[in-house]
Amino acid sequence: MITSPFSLQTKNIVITGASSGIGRSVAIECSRAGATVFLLARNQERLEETFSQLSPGNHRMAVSDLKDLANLESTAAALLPGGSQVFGMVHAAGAIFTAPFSMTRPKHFESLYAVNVIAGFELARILSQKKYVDLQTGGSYVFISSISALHGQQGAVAYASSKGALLAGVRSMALELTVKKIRVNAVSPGIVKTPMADTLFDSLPGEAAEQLLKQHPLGFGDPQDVAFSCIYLMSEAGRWITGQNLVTDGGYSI
Amino acid sequence: MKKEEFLRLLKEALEFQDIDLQTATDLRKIEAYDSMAVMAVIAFVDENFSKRLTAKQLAAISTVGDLMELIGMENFSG
Repeated sequence: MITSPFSLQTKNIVITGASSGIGRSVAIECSRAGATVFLLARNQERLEETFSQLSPGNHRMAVSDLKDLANLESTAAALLPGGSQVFGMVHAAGAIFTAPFSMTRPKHFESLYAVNVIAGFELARILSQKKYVDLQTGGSYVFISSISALHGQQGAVAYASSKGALLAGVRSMALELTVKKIRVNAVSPGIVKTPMADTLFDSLPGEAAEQLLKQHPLGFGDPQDVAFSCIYLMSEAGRWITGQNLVTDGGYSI
Repeated sequence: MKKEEFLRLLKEALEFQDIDLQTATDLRKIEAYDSMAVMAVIAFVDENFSKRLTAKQLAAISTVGDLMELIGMENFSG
């Protein structure tokens, strides 16, 4: 049988933020690409909804608040069947805070960084321990960043800077993990039609939202568009790519 | 929250120190009440009243009193 270089067959992949938006789509599309997925999210009901949409397989899920960093190691251990090795990870969990810089306080940075950055890096550290890595096949981790990490956006100092931190961390992590054949990359979406984008639009006057749409020559993205970028990076097709940021933004940044 | 306290905090959040903000003040007539100020009001209300307003709701009102109605008068005294 000839396997497509874009297949995720036989790969175990951990996905955070799997209960909605981009994370949900990544979970569903990875399962369709043949992966066995292990899902983490905070909301049980919505996580179960994602789970019910997966292609058949030995998938698993666990309800977890990633901000509980001290429990992340035990959460991962409980999520993964004994002796499992993990090839991929997609950190799609994320929080947003939209407010002028004048109203952005340390607590806003702290809560965003805890989920968007630190939880993702901590999970990568846990999963890159030898006990979880097949040193023959290595692995591939993907962090969902944002185009706001590269292009300024009003009202997004806390959010954009947390996403920029991901890009910086990805490059250093990629260098360190090559020894275990683990590739580390980021995907930076433009505006994607998700519940999180709705909260952004709620804060913007109608004309600003229209302007944003015009800035996306291919229109706003679907979560699936981002999921496909993740699949590419985790598949055999992406085997020579590490430490990079795959901008997936419908032309916003051109 | 006392009405005076609300007006003081709102003024501070919007950096409207030079403006005499009263319940009858028409926000739309204030030059500095721009899209960033709208974003600031949304964040301010969320922070202080745990209520998430939208830019659309704010576009439909004019005075500070209207804003208080949106937040819910039961939240105010004095």
